[in-house]
Amino acid sequence: MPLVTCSSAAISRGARNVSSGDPLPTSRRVPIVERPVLFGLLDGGLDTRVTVVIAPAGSGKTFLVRSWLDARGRPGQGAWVSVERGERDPQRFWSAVVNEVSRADVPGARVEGIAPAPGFNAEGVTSRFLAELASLREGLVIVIDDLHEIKSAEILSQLGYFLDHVSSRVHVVLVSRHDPQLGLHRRRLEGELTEVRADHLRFTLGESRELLAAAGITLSEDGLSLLHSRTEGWVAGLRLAALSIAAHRDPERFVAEFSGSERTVAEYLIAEVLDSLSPDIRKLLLRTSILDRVNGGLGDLLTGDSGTERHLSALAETGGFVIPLDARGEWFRFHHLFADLLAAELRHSEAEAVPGLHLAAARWHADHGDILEAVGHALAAGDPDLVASLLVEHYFSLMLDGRQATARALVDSAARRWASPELAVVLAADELIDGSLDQAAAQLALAARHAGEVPEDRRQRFEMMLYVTRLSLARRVGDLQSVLEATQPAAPFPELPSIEDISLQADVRALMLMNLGIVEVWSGRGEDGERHLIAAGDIARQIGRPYLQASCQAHRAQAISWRSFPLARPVAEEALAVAAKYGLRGDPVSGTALVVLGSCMVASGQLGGAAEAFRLADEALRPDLEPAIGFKLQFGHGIISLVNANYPEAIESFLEAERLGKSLVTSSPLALHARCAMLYAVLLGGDNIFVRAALEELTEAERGTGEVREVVAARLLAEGDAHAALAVLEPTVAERTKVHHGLVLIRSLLLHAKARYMINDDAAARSAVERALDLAETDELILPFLWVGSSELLERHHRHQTAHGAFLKILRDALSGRGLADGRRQPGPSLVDVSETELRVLRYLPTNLTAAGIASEISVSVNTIKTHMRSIYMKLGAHSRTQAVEYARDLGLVGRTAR
Amino acid sequence: MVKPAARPVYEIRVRGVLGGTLLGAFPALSGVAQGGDTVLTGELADQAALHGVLCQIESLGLELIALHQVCLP
Repeated sequence: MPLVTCSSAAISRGARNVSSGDPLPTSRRVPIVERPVLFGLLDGGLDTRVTVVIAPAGSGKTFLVRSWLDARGRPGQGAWVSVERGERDPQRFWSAVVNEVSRADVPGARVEGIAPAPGFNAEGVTSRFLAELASLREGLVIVIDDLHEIKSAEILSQLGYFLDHVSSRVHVVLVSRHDPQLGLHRRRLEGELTEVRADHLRFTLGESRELLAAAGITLSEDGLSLLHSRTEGWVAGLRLAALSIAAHRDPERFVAEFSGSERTVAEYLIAEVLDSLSPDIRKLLLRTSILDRVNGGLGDLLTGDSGTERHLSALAETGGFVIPLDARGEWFRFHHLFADLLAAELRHSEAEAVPGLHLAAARWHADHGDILEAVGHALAAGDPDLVASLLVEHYFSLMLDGRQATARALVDSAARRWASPELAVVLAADELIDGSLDQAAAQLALAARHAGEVPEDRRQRFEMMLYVTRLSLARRVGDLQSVLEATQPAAPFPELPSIEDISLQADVRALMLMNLGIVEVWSGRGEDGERHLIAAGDIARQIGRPYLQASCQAHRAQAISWRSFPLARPVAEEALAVAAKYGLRGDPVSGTALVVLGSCMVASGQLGGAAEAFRLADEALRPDLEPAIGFKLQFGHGIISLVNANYPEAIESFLEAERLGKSLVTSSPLALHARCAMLYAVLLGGDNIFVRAALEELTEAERGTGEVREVVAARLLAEGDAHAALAVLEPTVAERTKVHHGLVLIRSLLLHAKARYMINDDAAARSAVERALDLAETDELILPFLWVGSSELLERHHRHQTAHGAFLKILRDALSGRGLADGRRQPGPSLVDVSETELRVLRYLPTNLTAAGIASEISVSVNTIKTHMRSIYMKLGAHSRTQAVEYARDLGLVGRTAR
Repeated sequence: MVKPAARPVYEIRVRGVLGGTLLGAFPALSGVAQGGDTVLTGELADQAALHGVLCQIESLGLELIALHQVCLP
């Protein structure tokens, strides 16, 4: 078969089970009618961008397009995507498209698949996908079948954008029951649209004859023409008629009676078809019509008989209304029209059985891990307890699977009917994803108030969800205190026996530890935070959740960056590597890692690289949802503008950073950080008066901080009052411990030196510069020297007077705009072929971690690390670690910052 | 409590005579055969409910001929 089919069963089992891609078996006995005229129309359509095949249910749309692709017969040139019923998840839709195209294996295009993640960055994914398709060397047909099932305006608008920008080598065929909102009229006017509509699809008299003949039925010309006019060439009608006639003793009489009836074609024929079947099969079809897909076990459960699989296989062979979903013949679905007609008949003839059937289906799906289907059936069965307990148990996993939109639709529908503390906590978790913090807090309060109503056997899971959701909320607002007070569990989290058995609980556990870690980091409990992030990352790796894994690494890098940029950098790069590997390049998780990477680059004076990292982070992040990271990003933008003497932009960025800092409950240090930077930018811009007034407004405690003193001193220096500046700086300079890399201390020392030179105390000035160099060299901190504008200080600091000759040279280069200031290395492909794992090891070589230390950082054995190190030395032609680092730096394989 | 507003009544004409099975698919509406067509009549809560009915008509492969509101709320 020339096209790769995408079975809906495989997709609906969740993105973790990627569909097998096995071609569907073509049924031999389903009558096939060649339609050369329509094939010609579709062939001609390849000259335009888009073909739409739009007609009512049962018009033979899918069949036509599939047989046309088969007939084109060039394998690997078609990707087939069947939209799931009621599709709401952009992530699932685009994953299906991207994964099908990547499987189609067309020359030229390297299309990467997508790993599931909550909060889908459709823009990032589609633009990457478009770029990948742009390199196609041959034509590719992408078929999107059942387009009308898309129930999300968001997906349609993304698809519209995709159609507007996709490579001209790609032709898209859209199959739908009605006109989609995709600018068809404009495309028609531009001559970029080919249309196959209901009238085209109607069978001619000749085609009807052929169809019946292929089913082994012969009718008189009169009978044929009567049937054709009664069905008006509607393909489903003709196929249903063929099924009924085949079971009828007198075909001519059947046709005459059918023509004489006023009932609708579908209803008349479905009744006839059901009548012609054995009671067993009739029961099977009716009772399983409530399912989106059926297999032997599920069918047997609903009918109370055995033999479902055998019956369905036989029906798939003959009717064309039962469609196999996998090559092994395990799963089937009904043609949607057929299923809807059967369901109508079930409600008519066995209405009282329907809730029980849904309940049985819900339990079966829950036992088999198909949670969304289970919840859907539990809702249809009207069982609030089952709905609530399923959602509480699985909500986080669904979110991690990228199924949030579908889950939300189910949650909303449940919340419209029932109220319970369990639904309230699910609603809270749901609100948090889109950032409605107040709503989330309100739902959480409601859930906590009524916690006593949750039945004993479900209490533990409920409490767990309450705890994790509170942590998520705390993470957003940076408020650890309230979380610790409200949620410090009396009993510790239950220990989990083994991760393989209970991956769902492991999801929750990893998520909980991650959120706890993030909150701790932002609340000044960095050590606990890092420990929890490492534990969460380990679980994430074991259970195969790359999103969580990358997220933990990114936040850990963030935590480390408060104490050491050189140690943070490889962790951030590692997070980016994991994210890139799993198609999460445009995801907020990459944004976090990019912010950290950019901060590390800024600190070491690589402003060009940093600006690029921040630009990418701007695209990936949603600062409203992650104010803490957003703060860091805006602050980084501000620094770059400040150093480039673009003061108005620097002021704007610092003000935005301050706003984000204030939105965190534990805000004061961050907001003050931003305020001081902003005032410093104003000062450099020349507005001393404003700065003086603004400083007056600060509280006494704030005025006592090193940061504020630094700004005051800078103002005094600008006004020429060196003695006053020295007095203000005194408490900071006398400080022996270094806080936050000693950035404030280094800058204060440099200001102090400037003041000393002003009063001709050169010896004291030099000693202050020497102390600044001493503090900065460990982490190769270049930023403070750029910040204070220290060219003159460094020029006066002679090489023979310092113990930091090499570092002094690097600094001078950076400050004179040579070398580092614009990034001595640009990220890009390397000339040396270092493997991905070796690169990971290489990034740690500039740190002072031993081989054992690196091994524990990236969770492999010491021996593996040593093997990689040997291989790295060989490839680089290095004889020592120092040499390897030096060569790797020259090649741009590792950053400049670390020693 | 807000007094429930009177709901709009719709008449929806589809082609063919609907039997019990298909009428059962529209529990909120009552159907009457009229000249080879069926007219489905009933109160629908809002636009969303109306679209739900139209969706059902599409799913069952029925042909929609006419739709109008017979009584304003």
